[in-house]
Amino acid sequence: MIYSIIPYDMIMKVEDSLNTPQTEIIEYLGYQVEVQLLDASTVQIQRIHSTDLKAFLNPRLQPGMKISKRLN
Amino acid sequence: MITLAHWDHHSETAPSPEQTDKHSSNPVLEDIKDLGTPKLSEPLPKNPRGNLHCLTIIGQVEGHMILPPHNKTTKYEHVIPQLISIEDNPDVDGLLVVLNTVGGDVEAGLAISEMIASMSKPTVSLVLGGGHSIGVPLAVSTDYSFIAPSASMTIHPVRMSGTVIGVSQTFEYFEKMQERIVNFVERNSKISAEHFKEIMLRKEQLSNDVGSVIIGKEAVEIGLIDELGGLREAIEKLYYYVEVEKKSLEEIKNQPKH
Repeated sequence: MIYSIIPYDMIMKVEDSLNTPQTEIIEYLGYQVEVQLLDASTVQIQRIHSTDLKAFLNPRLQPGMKISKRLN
Repeated sequence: MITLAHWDHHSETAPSPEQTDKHSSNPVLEDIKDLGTPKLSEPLPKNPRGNLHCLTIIGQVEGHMILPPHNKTTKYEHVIPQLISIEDNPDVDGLLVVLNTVGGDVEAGLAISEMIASMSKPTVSLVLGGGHSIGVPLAVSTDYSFIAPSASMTIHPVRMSGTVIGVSQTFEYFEKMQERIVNFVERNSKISAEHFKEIMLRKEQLSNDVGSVIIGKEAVEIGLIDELGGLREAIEKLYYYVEVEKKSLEEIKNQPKH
């Protein structure tokens, strides 16, 4: 049950969702971060989910930072 | 959630053969590559006043239903384990809850609120921008609450949309849902249930709904929020609670054993 100031229909509207980038939550450097998938091997940090204040000052975790899959 | 075991920083995408050899011989990098657990050569210095953690509750509080992706959400299944690890981790001394939410799932909001209210570690909340609907119990769940002078809280009844089958039963169900919110707010703030309900059911303020918009100072005057303030006040209060907690722990330790 939703208890919000945003009307239910606006929350559940589907057409807006089609152009919204898909994000995922991953663990990186021991912290939970939300990333957007740019291509098969690169993701970009969108948001830090960890509550640890140290994560917010870590330059490698700044939103916008790109992370790539290591080629083995 | 996936664990990022084989991902690394963008600048290291194409290592030269020399670098690859170096990596394989470096145990720290091996740990990052294989287990996703970086080992720092030295532990980060501990804040002498106490280590604080910050939980931001933003957008919609997401619960039983996955909301369409255009909504900015705070998910119940992420927050609950975080709260448990904060309570369980001896390195964490206090929690600051920062709220800028438009509301969301009743049960998820109440669950997070109950978790925060039952934590043994000091907790302080700060309402910035908005702490509407289910944001109200979240704001009052901490040991002490602050609201920014420009922040607002909308208090309105739990309502519905769509087809209603069995009007009287549905009405009763909504009443019970609302009662859970009112009871929680009464238990965790200085406002009485009657006064809170009266604010919730006011007719003059919202154009197409009953309810009230409470801004900054008014939230303190009605006893919903403890104090008007910002980041400085919230952090100072939290450090004060951390200090009190430490002192009382020391006192318990120093008590003579019988």
